[in-house]
Amino acid sequence: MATVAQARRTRRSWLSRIDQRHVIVYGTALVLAVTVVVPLAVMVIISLRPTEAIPPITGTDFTLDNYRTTFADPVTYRLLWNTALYALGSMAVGLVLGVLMSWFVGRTNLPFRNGVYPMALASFAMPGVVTAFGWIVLGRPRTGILNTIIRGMTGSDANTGPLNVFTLEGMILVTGVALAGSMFIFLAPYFQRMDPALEEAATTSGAGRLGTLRHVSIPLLFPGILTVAVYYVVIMVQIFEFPLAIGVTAGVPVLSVRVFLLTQPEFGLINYGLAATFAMIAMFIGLVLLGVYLWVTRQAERYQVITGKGYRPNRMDLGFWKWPAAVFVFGIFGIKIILPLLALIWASLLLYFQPLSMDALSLVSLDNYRSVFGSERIRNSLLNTVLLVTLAPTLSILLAALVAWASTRIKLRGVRMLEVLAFMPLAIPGIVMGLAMLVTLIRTPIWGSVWIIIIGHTIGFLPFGVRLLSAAMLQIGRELEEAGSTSGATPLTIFRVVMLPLVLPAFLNGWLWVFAHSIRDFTYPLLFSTPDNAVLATQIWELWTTPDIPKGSALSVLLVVFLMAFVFVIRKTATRFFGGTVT
Amino acid sequence: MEAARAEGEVEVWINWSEETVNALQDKWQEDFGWPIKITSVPKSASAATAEVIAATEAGQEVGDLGQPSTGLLLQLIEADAVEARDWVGLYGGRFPGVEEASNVYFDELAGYGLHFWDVLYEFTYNTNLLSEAEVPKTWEELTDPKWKGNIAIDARGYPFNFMLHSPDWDEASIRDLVERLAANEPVLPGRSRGDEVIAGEVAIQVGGCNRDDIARGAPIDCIYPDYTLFNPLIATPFKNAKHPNLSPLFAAWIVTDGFPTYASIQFNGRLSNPDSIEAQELARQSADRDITVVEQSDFAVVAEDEALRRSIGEFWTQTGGGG
Repeated sequence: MATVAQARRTRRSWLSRIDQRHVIVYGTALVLAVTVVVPLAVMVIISLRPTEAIPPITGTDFTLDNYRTTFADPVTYRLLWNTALYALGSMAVGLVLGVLMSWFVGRTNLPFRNGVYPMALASFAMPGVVTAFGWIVLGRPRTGILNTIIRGMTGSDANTGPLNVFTLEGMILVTGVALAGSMFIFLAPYFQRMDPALEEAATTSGAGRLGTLRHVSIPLLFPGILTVAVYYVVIMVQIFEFPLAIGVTAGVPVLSVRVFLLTQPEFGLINYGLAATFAMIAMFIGLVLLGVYLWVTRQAERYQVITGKGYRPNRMDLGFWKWPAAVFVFGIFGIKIILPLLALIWASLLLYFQPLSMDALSLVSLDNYRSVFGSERIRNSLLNTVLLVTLAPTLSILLAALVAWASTRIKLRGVRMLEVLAFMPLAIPGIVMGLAMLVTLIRTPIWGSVWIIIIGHTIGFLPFGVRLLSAAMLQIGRELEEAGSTSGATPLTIFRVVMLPLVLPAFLNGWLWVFAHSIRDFTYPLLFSTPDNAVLATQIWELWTTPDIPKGSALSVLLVVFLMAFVFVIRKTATRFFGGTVT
Repeated sequence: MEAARAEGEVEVWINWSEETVNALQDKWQEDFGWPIKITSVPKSASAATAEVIAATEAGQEVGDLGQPSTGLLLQLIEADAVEARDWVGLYGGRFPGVEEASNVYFDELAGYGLHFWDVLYEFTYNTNLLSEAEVPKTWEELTDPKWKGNIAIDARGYPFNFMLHSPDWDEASIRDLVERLAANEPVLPGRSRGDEVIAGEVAIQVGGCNRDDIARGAPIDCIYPDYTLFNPLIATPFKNAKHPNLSPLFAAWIVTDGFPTYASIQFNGRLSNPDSIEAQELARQSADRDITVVEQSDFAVVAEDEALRRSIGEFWTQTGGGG
């Protein structure tokens, strides 16, 4: 008996000697290394191995064949060119619209301007693929609903156009308009919080409106706008959904889609070696662009004129033009949300897709919705989706909280590395990160299960959570933690009892953000897709490409309606419980 | 049989409608007196083949049954993703039709699967846009510039590869045809199913005729071109099938006793059956003009045709489409 007690004491004393801070920092670092660094290393190795269906990562024969093949193929340069045109073009369209919206909302007497923010958030409820599907129904050259209407109204004899979504220009316009809402959210603060004293000084000095705009307002806003522009180029090089839905049919393949199609080939075997090589190129471009972004951000901060003060900018009276301006601003949301949603509703009510006509009205029924609700595969995918959107946000935000806490509160060697590891998924395109995980896990039982998507989302969405929670933790004084420490609480107890409750609004905010992104993401679910791990996104894609456009449309509409209800409820709840902190 | 019954479910990597699945489940219950659950995963045969090969090599389980073409089955065999069986010995007693179905055209493919149904590549046309008389009847007519932007062709490279089985065509003449068709800026969906033509986005689609859509009232019909290309599909259980006992039994059943139920809903049949809709329609159209059905007879061409398909698929990818 005495021996058992002594053993327990010895163990306790051994445990007590372990510094929990070490466990947190190095344990978290280990998790991140295994989930981020190892897959990337495997991907690098596979890109250097001879081309096989699934190259083993062991072995000593390395080759640059995949790189030689890639760079000797003229298609690669076409991909890079398309990617550059698409990224810059979409960013430019989104930026022009976003700047105009921000100016109207922030600096003019635009009617109903308080409704623009909620609309921008509501546009979040339309996943990129769903928006693209809606626009395919609207903008197909011959039978697109908008084309049919425009030709009817103008009495045109042509049987195609005037719109054609299946072109690079069409894809850029659709993506650019879809970006405008989120770019507005980034840009609006620059317009709303700009110190009006500088403009007033210019006006007092006799400068006219245009002169003030040219010599004062634009130079003041330029660094901020440039930062947003570069950030969106980074995003657009990575984006996957629009080019997959529209670009493949349009014959405008981009880099991210090439990586995906090499893992899901219709005319050949899966080529992970080549996919990894293209992924390496995408990763390199992503890292370079991130470097540019960080440089631009640093430069922009030198000219910062936006402060935390609640300036009230002078609002320009637009006179009669405020009404056309309102039509323009809300029209953008109409183009982004209402038109594609109406198009999908129309498609979802038909037994087989037909253009808008009186004859087609006889085909209208709710059969597709009944079929969607009755489908066992869709019910199973709903269960997987519930598992995904419950676990991925929880794991991601818990991990983010640990990283944020360690980086803001613990002084140990290697803490900075923790942040670097956590932010790596930000620089690496989702399709690349996904491919790295796929080639690493393909021989494990995790492949083919919903867990591979959960891991993908946990890591892929980690940087946002870390940034959010780090900011929240930095605002909290150390007194409470010091009190806890003085009272003998362990670091983990302090984290659980003191820190987590204090950052609860940020924690919930991050959880909801990951939830919403997880449910609308198509990249990881499509890349990891097997019959057993189908989620709603996979099912929508599968139905659309089968093709069963009516049922695919019905499921898309249901997802959007759910997401809109979600956004609405969250805003109401946030206002009630957190005074709007959670959005 | 008991092991198959214990497994109780089968996952087919074939696109079957819910109606088909339900009817087959009912028919199975009627035939065997015990139920099975059929899950249809809508994958194309080419995508299923690539996924099965990769998953098998990685030691992962895959679905139970696919319907590859002869060329894709050859790839599965080379990748050791399927197993040969003595179908007649195992199931011939219960399903006499297995003997005929076990003839999969080539000795090299024998035992790996059972002849399921035949795809005959036709010109599907939108009846709101064209009358049967206006529809091109030959591949050459399809290259007429008047069809510019008005044709849909499967971006995966089908069905031009099957022309290799005709003595009248060789790789050069096939590539020439494909290039001249490319000048007509075809729409290039990644499949042969006719959504574009049903919607009226194009007037003509090259592919298998979707008679189930016609039965649902879709405004389409099909004609056989001068060289009607033929693609026999083989019901093939995979080596790493999730349900290794039920999958071969199900394959033997679906190509024999279960086939009439399947064919009555999916409207797919075998050309060798004179009562099949394909055979009857072919007889009707052959009465007015010459139609050559290009069947497969030389095994050496099978591997070549699959390689040509990939090459044409790459060509379409690089060409892009007219939308």
